[in-house]
Amino acid sequence: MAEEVRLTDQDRAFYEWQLDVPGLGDAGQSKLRNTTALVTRIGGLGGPIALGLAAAGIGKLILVHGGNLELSDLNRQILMRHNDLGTPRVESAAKTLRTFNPHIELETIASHVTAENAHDLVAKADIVFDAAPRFTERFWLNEACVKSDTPMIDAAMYSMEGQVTVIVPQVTPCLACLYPEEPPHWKRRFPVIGAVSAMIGNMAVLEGIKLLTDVGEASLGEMLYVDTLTMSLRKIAISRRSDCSVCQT
Amino acid sequence: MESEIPITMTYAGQLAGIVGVSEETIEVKAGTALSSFLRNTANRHGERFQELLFDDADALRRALVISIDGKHALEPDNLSLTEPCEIFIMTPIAGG
Repeated sequence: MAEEVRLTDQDRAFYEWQLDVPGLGDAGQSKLRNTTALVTRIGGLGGPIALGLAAAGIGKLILVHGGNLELSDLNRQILMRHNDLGTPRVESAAKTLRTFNPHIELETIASHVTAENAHDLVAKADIVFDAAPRFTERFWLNEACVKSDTPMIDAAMYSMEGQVTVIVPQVTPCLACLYPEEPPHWKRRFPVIGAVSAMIGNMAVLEGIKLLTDVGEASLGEMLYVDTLTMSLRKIAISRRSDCSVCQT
Repeated sequence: MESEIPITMTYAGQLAGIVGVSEETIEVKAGTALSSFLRNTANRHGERFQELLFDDADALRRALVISIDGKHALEPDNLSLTEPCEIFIMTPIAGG
């Protein structure tokens, strides 16, 4: 087990205003400082998630995203920069994060989650933020998290809606409880306004911070669903499936 | 005579775009099976809606998120509508 990193005076100065949040304090900040978070991918949802975690003082971020930056990414992928078009997305995002907060550790992996790498990726992290645009990636990640007892914050959006689900293995339903089969009609391309994905991403960050620091109550056993057309938030009580092929085996 | 009860349907994911509204109220006979009610609702909203709700064997897709009055309906095929309620139904989303 890695030795605990203690907060420095520099940390206390950097996070001074955050330390005032009731219930967080040195203890909560120290938990964040000693946490490694895996974020995959780092596009419209994952970018704001990585930025929010960096702002909050997470100790280490592992960024997982393949491919090169395209012009049509820029309406939502806020960590990317226009002058990085044609270069690896994950490096563009890492540059932005290093400029934003040079005190956090970053690891970049320029590929997507696969059946082959999911378990190794999850093994590096204390918490996983799932923002992949394909269900297959989400299911691989879910299985790896359940098998390694690693919490996962699942965030997703479509058009003007989004959802966040906190998955704590053996405590809450897992993603396969929610979706026991791969949805056949999901398409890789989906309608998106960057502000919606950023909003959902930041909700995922807050759920992760609450889970890590015990500030407030993480939304366990609930799917948070947001409709930004009406600015309504709905909490759906979700249940574990007794026949779940992932968390009941 | 069997009484009718109001069911408030809330559509999310791809369904809202097909229906054109996110919410509608439908009257149904008390005791109607949920699956039968959803089949009739799907028939009213066209082929694309039907494909999203039902598979080729005409069974409700298991990946749908269906909640009744805020509670996840894990086995919707076993449920009947006996009282006024709100049904939230969402096709899975994975936009990142």
